[in-house]
Amino acid sequence: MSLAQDSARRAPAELADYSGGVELFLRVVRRLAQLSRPPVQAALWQQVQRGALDLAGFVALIGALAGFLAIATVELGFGLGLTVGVRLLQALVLGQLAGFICALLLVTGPGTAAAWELGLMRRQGELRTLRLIGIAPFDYLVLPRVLGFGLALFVLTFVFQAAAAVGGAALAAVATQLTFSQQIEALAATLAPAALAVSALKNVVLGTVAGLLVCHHGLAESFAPAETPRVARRLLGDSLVALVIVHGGAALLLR
Amino acid sequence: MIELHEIEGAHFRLAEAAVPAGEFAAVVAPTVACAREFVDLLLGLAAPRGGTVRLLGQSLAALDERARLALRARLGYAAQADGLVSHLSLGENILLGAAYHRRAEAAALDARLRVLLGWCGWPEEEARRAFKQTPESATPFERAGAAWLRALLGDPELLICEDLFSGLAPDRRRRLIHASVAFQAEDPARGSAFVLVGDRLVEELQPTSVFYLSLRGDFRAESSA
Repeated sequence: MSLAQDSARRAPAELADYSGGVELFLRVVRRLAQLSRPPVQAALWQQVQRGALDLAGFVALIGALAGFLAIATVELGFGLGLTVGVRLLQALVLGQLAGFICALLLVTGPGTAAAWELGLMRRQGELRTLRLIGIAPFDYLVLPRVLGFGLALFVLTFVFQAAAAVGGAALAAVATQLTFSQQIEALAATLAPAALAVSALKNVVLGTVAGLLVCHHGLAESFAPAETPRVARRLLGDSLVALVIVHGGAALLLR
Repeated sequence: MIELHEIEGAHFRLAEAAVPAGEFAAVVAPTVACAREFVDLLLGLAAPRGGTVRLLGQSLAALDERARLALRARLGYAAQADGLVSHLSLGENILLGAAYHRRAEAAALDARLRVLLGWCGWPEEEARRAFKQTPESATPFERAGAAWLRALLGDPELLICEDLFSGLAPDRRRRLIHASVAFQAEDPARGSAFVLVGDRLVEELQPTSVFYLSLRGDFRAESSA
């Protein structure tokens, strides 16, 4: 057995304390002060960039199309008018679909990549190196990733929502008889600031949970290149469960 | 700075070893696994099966992980294999420890880096080009040099190198050895310990003391000074 393999095999025992979602989250909260260290800040920013900014264009396109489809289907398909179309856009696309799609994109792309990166670092003995130079792997690897995913989902969802509202209205103005300003005014009249705040909070929580899952799968689960599809599947499955719980919890709280 | 007594690991045994300040010591391990385990025990990543380890006057067994991390932050650790963070460039790797432990301002670190580059005879322009690479695309010397620079950038009290010279061309190896001697000579209160795999490089390193790890079950040569 090579040293690298040996290291990968031993890592779960070393990192046993990283498992357990609530404990992991509490540990993230307790270590927040470590964000003052420049390399931790750089790692956080890098995670936000990888998670949100690199996907922003794609998400904006999907958001605009989703917004357009919601308004156009109601207007052209059912002939139910602007008010219903805007309500549907607000409740379904901005309220539910935006967070759902962005979370899935975040987990399947940057999430899988981050879990792979952490697993590879563990396999190559880099966690040992960090500890030998006096750096706590948790502070340098887990903390910025967990918070980075939370911020990334917040940003991504905001981009999706903005694109769905503005881009969707613009596209609908071309395809239907509704004008752009009509749609925006109708949307602005129905959008409640509290709903926007809840949506933002929900996405930060969901992104943070996704970050916790990514770190758990990258650091505490067994890792080998051949197991990547299995890790990706489990990460996606766990994230979907988290998605349903967070969205369901938010819906219950806001009843 | 280092005091080891009756150390028994999974792979090796060591009767006694002491590296006081000002010492330039070599620890000869028979295998890579022994070298790695020795460093793990010395720096508190693992506990020995028997014996005591004291580092910078402190018993590692009495410290918790946070205190051990703080103690390791006072040291410089360099290894060529697995010694760098793969997703960072060499330049980011070099600055990682100093930036994390907030050693000094950027300008002071840059000035210190120039001094260290001079010691190891690495032309600054060539080095800064190399710093943009990731460890995977770097040459063995560039990786070893980056690990060495990272270790010394924080002005450590004790330098520990783990199998740093393997695979290096003789002239490149000599440059890093001379640079380490220069670092040691700069402040007599410092110490250095080079963990070597095999005794091939002992003569070239010219340490002030040598300690031999013996494979478990083979106690022919415990240690010699």
